[in-house]
Amino acid sequence: MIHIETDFKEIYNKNSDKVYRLCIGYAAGDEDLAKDWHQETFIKVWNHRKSFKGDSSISTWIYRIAVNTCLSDLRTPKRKVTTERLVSDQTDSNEISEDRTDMIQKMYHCINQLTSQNKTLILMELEEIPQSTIANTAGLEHGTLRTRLSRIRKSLLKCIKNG
Amino acid sequence: MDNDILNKVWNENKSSHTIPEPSSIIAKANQQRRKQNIGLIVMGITVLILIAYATLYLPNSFNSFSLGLTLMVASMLVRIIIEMYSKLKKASKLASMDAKTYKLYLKRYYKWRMKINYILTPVCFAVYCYGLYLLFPYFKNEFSNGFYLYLIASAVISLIVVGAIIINQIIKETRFLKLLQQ
Repeated sequence: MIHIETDFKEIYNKNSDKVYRLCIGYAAGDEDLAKDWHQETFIKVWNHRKSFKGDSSISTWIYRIAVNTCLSDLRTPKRKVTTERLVSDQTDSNEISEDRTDMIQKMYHCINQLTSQNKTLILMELEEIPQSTIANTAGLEHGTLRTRLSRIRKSLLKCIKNG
Repeated sequence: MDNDILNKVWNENKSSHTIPEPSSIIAKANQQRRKQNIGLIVMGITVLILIAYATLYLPNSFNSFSLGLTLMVASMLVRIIIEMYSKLKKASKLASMDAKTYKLYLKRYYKWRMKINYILTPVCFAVYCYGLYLLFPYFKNEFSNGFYLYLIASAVISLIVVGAIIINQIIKETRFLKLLQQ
């Protein structure tokens, strides 16, 4: 039991941050919803730990659970990201900081316009998760994923620039 | 170059969130599991008591009061069992499927839920209401007029509240299915 708990803590500490950021992207900046999804993900990881067969890496398995948890929730994001919680570069002026906050809010807004699958792909890509893991999590071929990611990036940039 | 902008903006979004300790996650998971098991045990015992009551008592003194009670309890049990089965069915698939397969599964799942919502749930609700209706003549004979009126008013209000909750859930699920089909 102690061994299982130690393993879980190690897995949790290693993946928790990325899972949270994946959830907050899915929740369009709604921190409360992201925290709920983050917690639900790891509760499911703990509950289903015996069903992990090692066909993929443990991180891939956790991302799958995280994405499926966000995807299957009937709740929709309520709040926009709050500006005071964003960490800004201290050397920048307030104006630049506001621009960045604005950019991040636009980014959340634009990500939220994507289909659920495209949302998964771009959020994982932005978290610099290896493309093989993304393909495995989303259930896509690697080649298809690369083409899709390139298209999503273009449309996201266009959306952010045009507001 | 443009692609780097996206990563740069995203990486600047490092929020100062506090993540719970892994031990609290384990505690919460175990607590949920315990509650689920208690729920199942209580449900099992209730079903056993009802079966015992039905086989031992009802054949000798079956009347519209016992019929009403049976209809109410049975319709509620059917609804609870279906809800529990639905939840467990969905939860078991979540950890074993990739996102694409899981989305397809969710579409099938919510189409099946629509049948439950639009056919089985109204039937259960109607049976429950009819069962309750059968009890009222007995209430009228047994209780004072004031208490009888109170029972009628509280029953109507409870049914409206329960009905509203069910309708709200159906609307949410229908909206979610439409979202999945986009």
